[in-house]
Amino acid sequence: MNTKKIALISTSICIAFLVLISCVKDVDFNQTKDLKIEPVYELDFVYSRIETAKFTNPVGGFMPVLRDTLQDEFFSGDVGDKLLKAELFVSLENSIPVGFDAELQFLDGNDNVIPISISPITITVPAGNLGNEQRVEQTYSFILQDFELLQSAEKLASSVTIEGNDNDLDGELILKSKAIYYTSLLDE
Amino acid sequence: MVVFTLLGMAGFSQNKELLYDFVELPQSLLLNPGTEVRFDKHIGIPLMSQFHFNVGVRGVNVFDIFADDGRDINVKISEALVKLDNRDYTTFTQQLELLNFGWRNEKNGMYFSGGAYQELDFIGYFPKDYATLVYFGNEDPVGKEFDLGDLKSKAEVLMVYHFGFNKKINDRLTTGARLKIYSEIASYKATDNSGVFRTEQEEDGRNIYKHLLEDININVATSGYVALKEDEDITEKEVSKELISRALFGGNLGLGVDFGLTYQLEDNWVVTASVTDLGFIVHSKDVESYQVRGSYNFEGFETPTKNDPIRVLTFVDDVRENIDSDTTNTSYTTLRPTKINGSLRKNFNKIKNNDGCDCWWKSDKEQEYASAFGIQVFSQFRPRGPQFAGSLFLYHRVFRGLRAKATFTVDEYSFHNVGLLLSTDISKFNFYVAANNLTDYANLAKANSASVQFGFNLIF
Repeated sequence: MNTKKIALISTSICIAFLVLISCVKDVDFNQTKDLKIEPVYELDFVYSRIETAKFTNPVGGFMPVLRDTLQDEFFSGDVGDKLLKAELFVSLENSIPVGFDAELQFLDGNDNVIPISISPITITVPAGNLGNEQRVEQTYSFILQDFELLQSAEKLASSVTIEGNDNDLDGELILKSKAIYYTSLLDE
Repeated sequence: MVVFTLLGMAGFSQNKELLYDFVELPQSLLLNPGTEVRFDKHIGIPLMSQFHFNVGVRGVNVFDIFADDGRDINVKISEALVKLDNRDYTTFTQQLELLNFGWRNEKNGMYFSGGAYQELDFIGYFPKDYATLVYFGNEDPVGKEFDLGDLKSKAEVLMVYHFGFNKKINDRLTTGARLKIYSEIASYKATDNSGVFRTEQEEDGRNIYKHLLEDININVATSGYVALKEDEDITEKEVSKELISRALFGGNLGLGVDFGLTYQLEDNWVVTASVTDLGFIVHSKDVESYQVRGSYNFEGFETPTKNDPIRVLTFVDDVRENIDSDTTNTSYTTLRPTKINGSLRKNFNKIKNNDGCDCWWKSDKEQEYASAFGIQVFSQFRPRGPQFAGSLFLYHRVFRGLRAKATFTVDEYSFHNVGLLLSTDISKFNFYVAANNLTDYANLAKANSASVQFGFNLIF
């Protein structure tokens, strides 16, 4: 056998060896169907710091409710499609020596309350004192149907009601809140 | 997306440690124009003289994620995400030689060579903080800083036209240089990004957290993309025509050089060095760049503040005012990924030519030794700085028509990369094949990278 044939055969054997031994084994690509990408995002929601002086009527005298309405598309787009669940965490800290009720409601374009499962979102904090603040924390869980209803939310109405009728007390009511979104980024 | 990104952590896709200084092959001139040339003429078989392909996995591999081991794939991905960092990267390079030719000018002894090849080059660093934010969210741990500069990637498809010379200056020194014209088909780069996203917990703050987007500066530049994107009625034939036109100097152009040398030391030691793709491309045609810049803090919506029947939030406007996004058509220039190669070779095993020389190389004076060993180094400039690799190699001329080279390569990531090149000559016809990471071929799922080059030449 001449060297040319040997060269050809040697190279062919090496290539064939490479091709024959090369394989992918002991793997299961069907596992992709079990793949989940479910990040959790926490975002601030509403906040406020309220002193009793705010319960003064602009035209004079006392008013027991502080009411405010924000307008925005809170749940625009297909955010709801990516949600597995969502929670709203609300905290009220009170150093004023009277109790308060706080309430949040989502409204549609015609000012109708959107009847989500947790509506109205209410929380009550008892009277506190400077140095002896009272804190109440509450977590509200949305159900899946709520996300669909909230697509029409255009406004957020918030109110804080003071007990009694004194608008000259020391201390502060601190409202803090955050939304917790449990999402699934892969389509089922 | 996360799985795909994870599986792309590759090795050095442009390191051709097997072809480098393999002087019997004309393709070695593309890696060092100053290599020793032992033939008088060559022509690569058009479209088949070199095909180069490399893809790889660094940090994790297919087996780590998809092993049929009963473990939850989501746990395996979480582990991989923790293990990888933003210096891990994916590279993918593919080259196809369309033409490669060369001849020796008998008057001055210079060897001229030229040709054209198509190249696709991609590098994408693992965007760890983006992946973490998408996979885990922002709440664990709160306070973590997400570096938006983690977005670093670059890709280009181009034709390279080249012509060079090689000259043996004296018995010791051979030098060479090559001029390259780059004719780009399409490209994008997202390499100059910065900024952070952070969620801070605020005990005494206005709300529970403070979400901060700080000094955001995200830039993505494209060329050769918009014309094809915007014309919805464009047919496949027209796309092909447009791409061919760009490949034939109709697109963005660039210029580059290669240069190198080979120097004979004492006692059959030989040193070589080369710099290739030292060049740039000017992107002025069909350019579209996207920028997002600014800073913004978010602490939620303040309510109730006062009795107010309706207060329209300006949240979206506020964001737009502070985070400016813009699309421009400004020209830009990119540098080619310059490569540096070097080697130190010791020749040994002198050939005993007692059967007359009918071999294709010029004379046994130039193929005096049948074997060689040595070391090679490789470096390539990339967006996060140079990458390095080192190889030990063993060359052997098995007999007249069969030569082989084996390499053992170590780089930042792989410590067991064994490669083999075989080059066969049957009369003037040459065929070569090279592959590395051979130890992983038994189960490619466990491979960190795989690289193959092969081609056909006529060598005279």
